[in-house]
Amino acid sequence: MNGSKFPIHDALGRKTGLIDRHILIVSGLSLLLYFILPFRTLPTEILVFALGAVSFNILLGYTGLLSFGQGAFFGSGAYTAGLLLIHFHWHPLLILLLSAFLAASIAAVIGFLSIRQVGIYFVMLTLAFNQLVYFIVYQWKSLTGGDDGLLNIARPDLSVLPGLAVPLQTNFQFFIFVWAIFIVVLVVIRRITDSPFGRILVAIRENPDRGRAVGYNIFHYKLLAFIISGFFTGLAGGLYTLFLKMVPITAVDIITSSDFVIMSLVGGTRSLYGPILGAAIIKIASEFLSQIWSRWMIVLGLIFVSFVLFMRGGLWGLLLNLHKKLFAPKMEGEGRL
Amino acid sequence: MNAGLILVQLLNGITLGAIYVLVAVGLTIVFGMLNIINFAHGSLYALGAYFAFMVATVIGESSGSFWAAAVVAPVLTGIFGAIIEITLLRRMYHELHEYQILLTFGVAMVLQEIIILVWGTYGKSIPMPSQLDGVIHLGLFTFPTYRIFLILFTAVTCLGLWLMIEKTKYGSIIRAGTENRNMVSCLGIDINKVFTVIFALGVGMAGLAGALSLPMRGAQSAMGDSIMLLCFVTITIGGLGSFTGAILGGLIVGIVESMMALVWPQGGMISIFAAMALVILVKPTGLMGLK
Amino acid sequence: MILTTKDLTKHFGGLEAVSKVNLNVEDGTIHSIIGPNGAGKTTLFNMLTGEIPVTMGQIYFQNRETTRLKPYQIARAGIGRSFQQNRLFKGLSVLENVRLAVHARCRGRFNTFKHFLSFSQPIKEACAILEELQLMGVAARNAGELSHGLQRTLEVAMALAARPALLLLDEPTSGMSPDETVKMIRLLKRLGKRLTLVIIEHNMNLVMSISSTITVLHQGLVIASGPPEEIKKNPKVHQAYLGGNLSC
Repeated sequence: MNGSKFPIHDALGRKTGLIDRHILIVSGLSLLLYFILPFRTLPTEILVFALGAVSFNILLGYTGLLSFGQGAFFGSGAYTAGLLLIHFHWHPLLILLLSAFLAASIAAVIGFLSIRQVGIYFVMLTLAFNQLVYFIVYQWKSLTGGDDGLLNIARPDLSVLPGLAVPLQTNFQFFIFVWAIFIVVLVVIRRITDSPFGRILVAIRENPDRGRAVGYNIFHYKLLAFIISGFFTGLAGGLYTLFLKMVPITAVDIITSSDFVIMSLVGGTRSLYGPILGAAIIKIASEFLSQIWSRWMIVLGLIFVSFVLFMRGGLWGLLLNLHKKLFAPKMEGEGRL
Repeated sequence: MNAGLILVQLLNGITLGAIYVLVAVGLTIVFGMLNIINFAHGSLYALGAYFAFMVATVIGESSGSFWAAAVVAPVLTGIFGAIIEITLLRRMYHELHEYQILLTFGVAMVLQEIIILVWGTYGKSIPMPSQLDGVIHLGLFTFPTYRIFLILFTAVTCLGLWLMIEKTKYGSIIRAGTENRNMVSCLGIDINKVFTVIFALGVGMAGLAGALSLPMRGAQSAMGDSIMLLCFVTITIGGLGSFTGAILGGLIVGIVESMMALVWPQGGMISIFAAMALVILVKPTGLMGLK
Repeated sequence: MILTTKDLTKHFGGLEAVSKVNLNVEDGTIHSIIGPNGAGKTTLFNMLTGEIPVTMGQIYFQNRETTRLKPYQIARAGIGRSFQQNRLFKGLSVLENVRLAVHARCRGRFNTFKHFLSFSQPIKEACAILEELQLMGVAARNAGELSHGLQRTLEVAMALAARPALLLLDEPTSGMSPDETVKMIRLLKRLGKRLTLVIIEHNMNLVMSISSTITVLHQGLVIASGPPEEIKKNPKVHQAYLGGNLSC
């Protein structure tokens, strides 16, 4: 590049193509979920929540924004998909796209209003807006079904050509559908985070004042991050509706927002893949451990607390360190944000 | 809709507000002095209620059981808080707000589950203390004695707390500690102890609120979560770190919640959170907060 | 004049931190701002770069008024700034720090489709800056791990990344060892040949040896402004420093 003796990729990481071995490994492992787990619907649920967690982590892990109100976007996407499926019989991909766009629009508004504040004020604003959306959904019974949610939603097949449709009715068929979308979205999000835009988000997390001082309009970038996160969270919400064939009010609840926070932190906020691991671990543990000990979440809470105190890299960070210790320590740049 | 009904609802609102005030004052003291937002504050309110239940049940049916509970529960909660501060929070004072929030959020998660583990998922309650059972006649209507007691007790407690912070030597140490930790340490005062005491005090207030609300509202496993959010609204409206703001905010939230039930029942929560968002947008430091 | 201010004033509540400062910085010079602690020097810088709002007065950069511009707009206009307390991307490598700063100026800032390493221009320029400042050796280290002296040097590199016409440096040698200070002085002299520098400094050797003009601030007011020889002899300046070290 300029005749200097050290390799650029030591300092900046290596350039990756859209699809590389990391994506292939994640694709393979997530596909394997269906065959390893003894539950037929859990793998799909894992992928849906993994998508939501990865989208959330764009805000926390990359940009440093602790958005405690992702449920507003997840729920918006879910309810949009639900209503569209009930009243129209459009193509599921179109419905997912519309759900994502609506969630992104709501994220734009909430983001625009919230980003002006920092720290605790920002967090509480996202909470307040989430609660606002929740109670509006709760009270607007005629539209959303209130406490009962939207029920009896039919899951359409995926029409490819006039007359030819890919069925999505069995657990396996729908899982493959979700898996395919999950991988595509993961590739897209990874490219976004590896792009110049993504690097600026990291700069914002590290030192927003310096970002401003070198010429970045930090507000714009934060807002775009919000919109992108909202888009993919809404997409996850739409998938959730297709998955459950109903929309529970919990989709828009703070509980869902907390889920994404917990999954990301346990899995590891310092990488793209951490939240995926977190979603899988927590959903699986939830299924198995809750049968052994109904209060298993005490353990989860303790793990969460110790991760916040000592292991910000989460489980993924742990695995990465293990990998480095076992094999030759190579600075690959992957996993390092 | 008559004047009597409105007045009753207003008093109900003030009663609710009193509980919110106690909880919010605790949270705001901790924020104002330690610069930490304790997401576990609601769980400690719940813990106070359950401690009170435990004490009252242990002592058994006697007219003194409530009073004993009302004294012991906040103390137990405060001790619990001190343990949390010493073992966990102390490490986080220099960290970003985000990680402090996440830590206390995790603590809340654990506490919530521990409460269910120990006391189960069914609601608990204790009977009203006999001295306060019954109603007071206030002209147009009657109003439960206990609620009047609650309002007055809160007022006295807040006054006492304010006096302690503003007028006593210990209070001045506390106030100085928030402005300049290092200076206070240089004066030979153990700043760590001061912070532990403040945290225990703040958390004790939440425990007190929980204990006092037990005969009136009972204790449920989810009570921590719901009061946490309302508490956030309260201190946001009143101003983070502001004592008078917590009082003002608590009363506003309680009264709005109560009056909305008369006027627009569905809109109660919506109005409250919309108000919170509005305050953060327009004047983030709250009504009583500093510029 | 590349930079002028007219009656620039800043009130903080009841305190007048900067009072009617008229600064005139000539193109291509090294202009130092000195004064006892609390004189308002950093506050002045903060107004120049839009970090804090101006109470009264105007700022003109290259004959354009920049009084109300925000920090990112000031950077884009061609003013680079280093801070008294380091503002670095501590968790990122030194090269990435500078690359980010360079990329702020380049095309593709909002690009979300291509890998950031496909943009070779910012990388080339960042490497060039690191070469000039002799930071290439630590290019792969995290900025937070560097010694204090190297961090201060990186601060200057960040300011340079904007390819500024004007460089504002706030105590660039603070906390540096004598060797590091010598290196920094050499660097500043070199930079001074192709850029205009305005430097806040407490190191009188540095100030006297490289400045073409010195402005002295005391309690928010300009008490003297002129070439080093004049400032050395100025009784008001001596008084402001309470008989402190002006003799070099």
